[in-house]
Parts: sequence; structure tokens; C-alpha cells
Amino acid sequence: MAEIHLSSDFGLQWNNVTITPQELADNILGIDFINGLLVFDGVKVVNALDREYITDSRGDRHMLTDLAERILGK
Amino acid sequence: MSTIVTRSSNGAALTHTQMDANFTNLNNDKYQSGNSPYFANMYLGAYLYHNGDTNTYLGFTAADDARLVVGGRQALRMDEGSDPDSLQLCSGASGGATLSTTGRFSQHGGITVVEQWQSINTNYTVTNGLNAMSIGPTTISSGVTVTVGDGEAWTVV
Repeated sequence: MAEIHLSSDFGLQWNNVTITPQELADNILGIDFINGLLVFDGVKVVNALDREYITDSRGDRHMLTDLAERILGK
Repeated sequence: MSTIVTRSSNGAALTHTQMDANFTNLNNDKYQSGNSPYFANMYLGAYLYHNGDTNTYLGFTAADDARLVVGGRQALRMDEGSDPDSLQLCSGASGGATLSTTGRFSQHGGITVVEQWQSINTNYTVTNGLNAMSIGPTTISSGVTVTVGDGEAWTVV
């Protein structure tokens, strides 16, 4: 398992995956990228074994593996 | 400690000068009302009172227990025995809120609103074995990283 790092500068880093702040904001309801800063509202970031995910503000779960595949094609 | 010449150490009856010197030394070395005494350590049996005030005091009522009482109302309590590593902000006899170094925050009666900063301004890593919560919207400041480790979660409500 790997740590999940969140930053307004690089976005989300997990394993060898990097999702930019703008990509996060575009794909996760409840994450905005405003004036160069990531803003979280009503979201949950979970780093559980084999089910790393972000729950958006609507309650929908986004597995990080699915996010990476959808956004980065990995 | 004051320098005192005793008859025994003097080997003879003290002279008037020696007697006077003893009293002078004692007088010079004593603490009296209004002074600011210094002690390396001081041990209290129970309470340290604000002068002239019977209901404002610092209390040590039991081992590993310290309380600050202001105007008869307990304002602060640290009790290692019943709640390790915790600080209780009190509103009377019972606790108002408990802050714990283990990352726990609890509240008791009377408090209906919890406030929190809107931005995370320093690097933050969720403590191992714990989950974290922020009151959103929460902004991650530039140059700052939030880390969610294995088996942990960060929830922004």
C-alpha cells in the first residue's frame, strides 16, 4: 500500500499515479481548484487496503485505480 | 541559609556584636509579605490561592491531577488518571470539552458549534491508526501536502 498525497501544487499522488489539481476538480464533485488552490468540501479520501478511493460530495465512490485509468489511461 | 554563629561553634558566649550579626543575617535572608520568593521546587498539599480570593485557585487534589478554578468554577482540568494525556476545558464541575494528545476531541453539554481554520497551512499527515476530519470547505495552501497513510481516511464534511 502507498500513501496518498494531496497538494494544491501537484494534485494527488498515489503509487506511480499523479492526478493534477485541475483533473481532480474536473472529476470529483466536491473538489474545486480555485485561484491555484485545491478546495475540499464534502469529500472523503480513504486509503484502505486494495480499495483506495475518494467519495465525492454526492456520495459516489471513485476508486483511485478507476480514476487513474479514466484520466490518465493507466 | 543564613550565617549564624552559635555558642557551641564559637566556643564561648556570643558577644553583642555576634548576636546582632546573627539577627541581621536572619533579617536580611527572610521572605516577608510583599516579597517575590524563589524556590527551586515547592510542594503543595492541595491548593494555591489567589491572594484575598477564596474561590480562585490552582489545585492539586490528587496524584496526576491539576485543576484551575476561577471564581468558584472549574475552568481547566488535566487528569492523567481518568483521561490520559488530555486537557479538559471546563464549564463548572463537569468538563466542557476535552482535547487529547491522542487526536481525540470531545465535548460535553453547552457547546453546539465547533470552529476550525478554513485552510491547512502546514504539512499534515493523518496519524497512524486514526482517521481525520475537517470542517469544509477546506483549502490546502500552496506548498503544503496532506498525507493519508495506509488504512487511514481524511473526511471533509
